[in-house]
Amino acid sequence: MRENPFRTGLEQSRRSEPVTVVIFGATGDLTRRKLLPALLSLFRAGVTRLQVVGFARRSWGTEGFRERAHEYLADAPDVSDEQRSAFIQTLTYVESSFDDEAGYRNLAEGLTGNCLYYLSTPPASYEAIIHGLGRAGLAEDGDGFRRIIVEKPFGRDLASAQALNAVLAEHFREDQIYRIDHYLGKETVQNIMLMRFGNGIFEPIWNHRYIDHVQITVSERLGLEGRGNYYDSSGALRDMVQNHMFQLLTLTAMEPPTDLGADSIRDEKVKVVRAVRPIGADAIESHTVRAQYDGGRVDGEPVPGYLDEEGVPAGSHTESYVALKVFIDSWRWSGIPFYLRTGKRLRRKVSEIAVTFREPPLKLYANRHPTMNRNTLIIRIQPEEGITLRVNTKIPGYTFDMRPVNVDFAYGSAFGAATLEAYERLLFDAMVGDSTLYTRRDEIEASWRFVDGILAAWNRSDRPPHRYAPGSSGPDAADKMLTADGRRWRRL
Amino acid sequence: MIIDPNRIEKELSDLMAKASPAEARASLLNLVVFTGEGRAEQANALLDSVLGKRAARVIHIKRGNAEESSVSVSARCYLDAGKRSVCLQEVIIENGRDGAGADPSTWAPMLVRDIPVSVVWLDRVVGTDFAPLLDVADTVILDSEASLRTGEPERELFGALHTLGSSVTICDFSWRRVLLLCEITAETFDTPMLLERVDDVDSVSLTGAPRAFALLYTGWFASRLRWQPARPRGIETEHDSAGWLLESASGRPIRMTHRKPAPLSAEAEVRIEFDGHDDVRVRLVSGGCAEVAGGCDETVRVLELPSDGAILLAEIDGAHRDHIYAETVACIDSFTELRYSIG
Repeated sequence: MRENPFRTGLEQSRRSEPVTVVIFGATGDLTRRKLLPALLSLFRAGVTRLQVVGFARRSWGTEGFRERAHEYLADAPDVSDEQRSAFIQTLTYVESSFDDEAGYRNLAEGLTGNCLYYLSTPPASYEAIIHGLGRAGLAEDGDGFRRIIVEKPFGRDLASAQALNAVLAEHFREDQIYRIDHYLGKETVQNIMLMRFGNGIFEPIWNHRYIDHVQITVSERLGLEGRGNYYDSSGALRDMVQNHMFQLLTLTAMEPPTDLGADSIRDEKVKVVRAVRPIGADAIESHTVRAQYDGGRVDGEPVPGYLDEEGVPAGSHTESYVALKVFIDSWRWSGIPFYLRTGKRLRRKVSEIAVTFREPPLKLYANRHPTMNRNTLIIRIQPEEGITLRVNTKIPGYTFDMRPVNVDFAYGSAFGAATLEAYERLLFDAMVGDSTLYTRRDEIEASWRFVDGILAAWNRSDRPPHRYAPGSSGPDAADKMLTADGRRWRRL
Repeated sequence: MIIDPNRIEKELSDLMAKASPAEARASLLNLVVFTGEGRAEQANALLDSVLGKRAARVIHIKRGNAEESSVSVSARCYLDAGKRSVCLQEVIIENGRDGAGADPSTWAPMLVRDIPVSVVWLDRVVGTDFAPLLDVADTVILDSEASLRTGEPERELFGALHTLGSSVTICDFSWRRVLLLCEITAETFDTPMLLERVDDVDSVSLTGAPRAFALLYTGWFASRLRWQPARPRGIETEHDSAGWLLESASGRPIRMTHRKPAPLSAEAEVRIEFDGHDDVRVRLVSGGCAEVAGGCDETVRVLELPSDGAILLAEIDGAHRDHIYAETVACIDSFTELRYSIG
């Protein structure tokens, strides 16, 4: 067939072919808060021609789905009424339970061209939906692509993740599967790789010769906020470390990819996860700290302790805080500890990577502080995304006294705040077939293998979780883990 | 006029310290804005669009009537959505009759070194010698529609743009808006049935929309299909309308017309005819949408025409030489003299 002559030269912007997005669990909260706004935004940006099909049990019907969409999107910014209406006209609805074959037959009748399935349901429904799609022939590429996005949590341990991967593999090829971790959709997380590999100055010193240690922190001020039932079955290790924090770890520690292809990047990330030294029973006390927050006051208001939160069973050992000392057994990182910590009800909300460099080989200047000469590069993810480099400078005067100064760059001070929502970026990437920001099967399984080892050792231990005060920087035990190594956490 | 760049730097530094104390300084680019008569409003709107979004040094050179050129400085910092200060440092030069203010030797020393320089040209294009600018400018940003509106003759304008484009990257606000219509047109021709008939197109007409928009669209359309200008059948046009006669590679005559020019805020319509039959229609309607009818398909598409400010921001982030624009302008340059009467 001849080429479209009008297409020449218009390829500069990324665009997706027309696509139908099928949202399973379309009546849920994620659809309302994230998916419909993200799809509207993509529709408005004109980067694709969209049809959206909601698939759920409730008897909303297409009109009901559209009415609710009008309500959900009423406050969407920068959208005219005409554009909103045009988007909502693309919405249709299939009412069905997830294990009813008739529902998938109904769905199939209206589907042509490219299709992107989004599993926005509780994980318990994933298997039924995947089988339903497969048995209806909806997983096979036909007159267009067929792709599936699977929301986190992707399993709750290695076995369940492998089982889910096996179910997916029955019907979908790996290149059709997009395992979402919305953390990777954040501009600032993507910036880590660009900062490392888009600049020449970092890579030469990004190794055990120049770096003393790395701290990765994702802390939250909030408690469980009514999610006690869910959270207690998960805990900080599963909820944050296995996915979000491992993404930060791999982006910090990975080797440069040979190109920007999805598999080139993901190959390098997987190598990091595989090189993470397992933490077994022998190291569980020295390399891990799990803890729960006590009740107390935050901002002058009383807050319950973890065990008093609604939905948390008495005597639960589920951790609301975890700190880990992790080693990556690779040429680049041999012997360098990566300290990871994450928790709820901490002093402040922070996501950051702090890379502390070694002291100069010769201490020419007198120190008044034991770590004064250690430069630290802090990659701030939130709040105030940017980079801070702590350097030592001379204090003006007759002496050579010095003190550290923060050289601070905020992305916002150059570009203004980022406006693209993580889901918008990730949905669009799936539409254009770019899986770089999605997690591959081997990466998921490798990270679960590491987490399972810790969970098993904790389960064998009779030591209850440590305690920490709400609004603090975490348990004393976590501080001791670093002081034992002659280091300390960055203040929260 | 004697301007001391070091003194200007010091004043800017003091102003920045007041506007945004204890904040890190970031500069993404230099924006040199030349504003001619009647274009002050456009310039102010453009600069407002950058405020709070990109950190820049702005050198604003205004055409003035005073005998001597003069200079003043200011710094404006706005909090973005993340509550960070994003600052514009401004050097405002009133170019007097001495011409010193517009002379690059006056303002070029005030550019922040090692970051891109974009020149926003909101002044007369025809007859301007851009050569002195090309030594410092990475991009020249202009608006062909505003140039036509202020009375620059279209043939000379596109001739000048054709010449300028061979020396520097040009960003034309009008072109960036036309591109959206081009994309919808291209997408319509993805339909196999229409693509098969692309060689049968014998007429492209645009009703409404400003003249530059129409010229750029028809120029793009013609350049994609390698149409050549044909000999004119007439010289002048009816009031406000214009037509151009071209021919395909096989010598088939093609009519391109623009009727009832109007601002883009009003509705506009493109009709593409195959062998005399009206087969593709794109109607730009209110609310940032377009109704597209082509083949058996009728859809409503988003066609959100970007503001000058949005275009400027996109240009700041990703200036690139647009060879399609260059080909389009070359095509327009070849056929603008061949108007015929459409009566």
